[in-house]
Amino acid sequence: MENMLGLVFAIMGMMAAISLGGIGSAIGVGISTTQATGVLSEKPELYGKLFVIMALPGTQGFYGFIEFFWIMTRLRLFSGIPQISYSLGLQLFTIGFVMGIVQLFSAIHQGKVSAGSINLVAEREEEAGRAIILPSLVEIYAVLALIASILITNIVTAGL
Amino acid sequence: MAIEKIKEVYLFSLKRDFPFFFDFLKKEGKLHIDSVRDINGLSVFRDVNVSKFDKEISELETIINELEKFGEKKSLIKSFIPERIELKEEEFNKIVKEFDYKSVYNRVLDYIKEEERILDRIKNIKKLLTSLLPYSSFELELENLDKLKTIKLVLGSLEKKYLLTLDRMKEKLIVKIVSSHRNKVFLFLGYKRDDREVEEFLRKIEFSPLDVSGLTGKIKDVIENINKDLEKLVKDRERIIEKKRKEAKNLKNIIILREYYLDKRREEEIKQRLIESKFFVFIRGWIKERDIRDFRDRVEERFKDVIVEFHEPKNLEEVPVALRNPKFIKPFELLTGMYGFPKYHDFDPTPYFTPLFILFFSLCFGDVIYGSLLLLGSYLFIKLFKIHEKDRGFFYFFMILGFFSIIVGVLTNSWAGDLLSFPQLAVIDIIGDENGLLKMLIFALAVGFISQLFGIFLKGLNNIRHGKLLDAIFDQFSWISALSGIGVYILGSTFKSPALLNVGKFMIIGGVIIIVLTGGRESKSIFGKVIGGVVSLYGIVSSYGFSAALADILSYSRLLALGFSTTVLGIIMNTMARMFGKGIMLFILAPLILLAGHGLNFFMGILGAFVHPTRLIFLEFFGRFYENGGKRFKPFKFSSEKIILKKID
Repeated sequence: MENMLGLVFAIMGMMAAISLGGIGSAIGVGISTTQATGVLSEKPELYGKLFVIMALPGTQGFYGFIEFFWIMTRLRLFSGIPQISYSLGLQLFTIGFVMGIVQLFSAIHQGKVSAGSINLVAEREEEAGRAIILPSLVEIYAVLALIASILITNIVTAGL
Repeated sequence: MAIEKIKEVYLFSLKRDFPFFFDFLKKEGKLHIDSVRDINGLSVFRDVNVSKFDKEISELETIINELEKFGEKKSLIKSFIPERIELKEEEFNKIVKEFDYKSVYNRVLDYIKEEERILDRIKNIKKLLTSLLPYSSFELELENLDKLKTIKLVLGSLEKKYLLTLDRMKEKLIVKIVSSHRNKVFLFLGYKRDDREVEEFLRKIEFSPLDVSGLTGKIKDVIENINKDLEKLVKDRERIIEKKRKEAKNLKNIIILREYYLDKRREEEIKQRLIESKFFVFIRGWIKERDIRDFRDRVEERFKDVIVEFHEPKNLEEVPVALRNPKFIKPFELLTGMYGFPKYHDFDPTPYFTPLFILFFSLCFGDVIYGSLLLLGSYLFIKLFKIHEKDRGFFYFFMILGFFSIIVGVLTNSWAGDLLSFPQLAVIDIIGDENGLLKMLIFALAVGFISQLFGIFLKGLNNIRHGKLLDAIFDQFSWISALSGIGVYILGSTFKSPALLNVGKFMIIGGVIIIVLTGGRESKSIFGKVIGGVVSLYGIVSSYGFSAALADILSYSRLLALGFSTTVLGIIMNTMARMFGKGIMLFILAPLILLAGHGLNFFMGILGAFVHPTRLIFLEFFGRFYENGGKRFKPFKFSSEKIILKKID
């Protein structure tokens, strides 16, 4: 039991990354899609343009998934259960959890910005190009958290 | 390779020639007609009526709304492509002259009214039907209900909870239950005519009588007849829908006609910009310099009395802007248009950001197989859906990007994730190489660094173009020296070269000295000059500073993240396919997973690789040097969203 604790924490970290990112994206896409359905009931021809904006807050879920996968790869979980020290497990948990928190909040706020962009397109269709860019102002922080978490994962798992 | 040279044009036409001349201008399609500011006692052109064609347009729009759903069905993919009707000018003129839309309009109006009437009747009949249905087992003929002299017979419904209270009146009221449904009972009642007490009682317990006036025969038969009526009405409606469907064959002509009138309305709007005197009409406009000679010749050849003058533009702020770029760069004007056109006296940023955008996109999307799909997909799209010349820019855009994504894919060893692997071809192998990620991050930041320097350099050039050499040295080249000095210094310390270290130091110090000495030069007091100079280093007073530079360069790290996530998601799909695929399942499940997974990743990748580089261009790059605010050059000619006229030569 004692020597499995490291693995338990590592798995908690992996799952924190994927679940917090997933929850955030679910809420974010929920916000933007609800807005879009309202607009679409009036202007169904905007479907193509709005669909892209609706999907934008979905990326955080994938970023969480990437971190999940990355830890999995670095621990070589595909080829059996490795020995993971207690401290390494805790480190990985911290990485996954903190990274997940950023994904969670940025996805929700990106959902709100996307909803705003959807309104913009509903009022002025020709602004679709610019409206698509706006949610990326929020997304950058999710991207930064992903980069940071992957770099630090590489460092802490370097000895394995 | 830049902004077209534009000249201002004044045209004076005799009033009697004007209609022909105006038509001629429209056919030529070379002139951007602008409004005249100083009217100087002349009056605005009077023969204008913007609402002249409103009636026709609204009638045509009614028809289109009504018939559109019976036109051709569009697939999801096709709904992304703008719909164009291509026809020859003579065909177009023939339709405008001969097609009688009024009769179509009247017929469609009749259909609308007829359908409304039918729907109304269906609604009423259905209401009657639901009220009669509970009594269908009632056998008495309805016309007999009101025949007895002393006794009144009624049908009606009552809430179940009042059923027992009816007992109170049992001496005066005969009650028969016909049927019951949920909380309602349907009753047949008999009582003495004009028995006030019973009537009052029935009202109190909210007995609602069934209105059978006008109905004869047994209820069963009435219901049967109603059903027959209903069937007939539904058939009538289908007949009308069929007629509409037939009418929809005129839809194309109707749309063409609407576009004609919309264009006519625009023409009237443009006429509002003109000015007239007693005998003359005066037109002020803009023309591309390279069109002038041809235009002048043609005017002189056809209109002897028209006076044409060309001038150098006086107020550069109001000159409309047309961009001119080689074929390879043209598709990227899409982004310039999205951000806003440059002003006439500035320069066109398109050729400068195009290589950067291509680099950014291909770093984010870089994958050999995805890139090939994008390249081929865009090409096939043009061929299969016969995309019109006018709309192809968008697809060329992605073809170019696809091509460069392939190159980056080879260099970073990304072949649909790790579906294939050729590490010997790669320069930086993000996944396979232990330090691949770090190398890529440094590369992304280096790209950011260089693109920032390039942006500042362009701003400096623009200042020089406007004769502000000192501003360029103080504000831009000082920064370039300081920032690139840092770059040189870092290089020097990496390669342990004292010479580079010294050059770097010198560049930094030189740049910083200029910034500190000149940053506060706008300030009036000596104190302001000193403080302003120091603070501008940090970036509070001027729009730029070390903090802004750092933040902007770090922002380019997204290039690594997006490229990495495209590759890793691809790998995840491959891993899943390999996990599920053993034995016979390999041939069933694995292709499904690969197709769905890579499909998803492909589209997500394009989205991310478009959105983030666009932001890098708009915010980080344009922020250094570019100002929008120019208005577009829009020549006066036949214009329509839907119709493309083929010229007859």
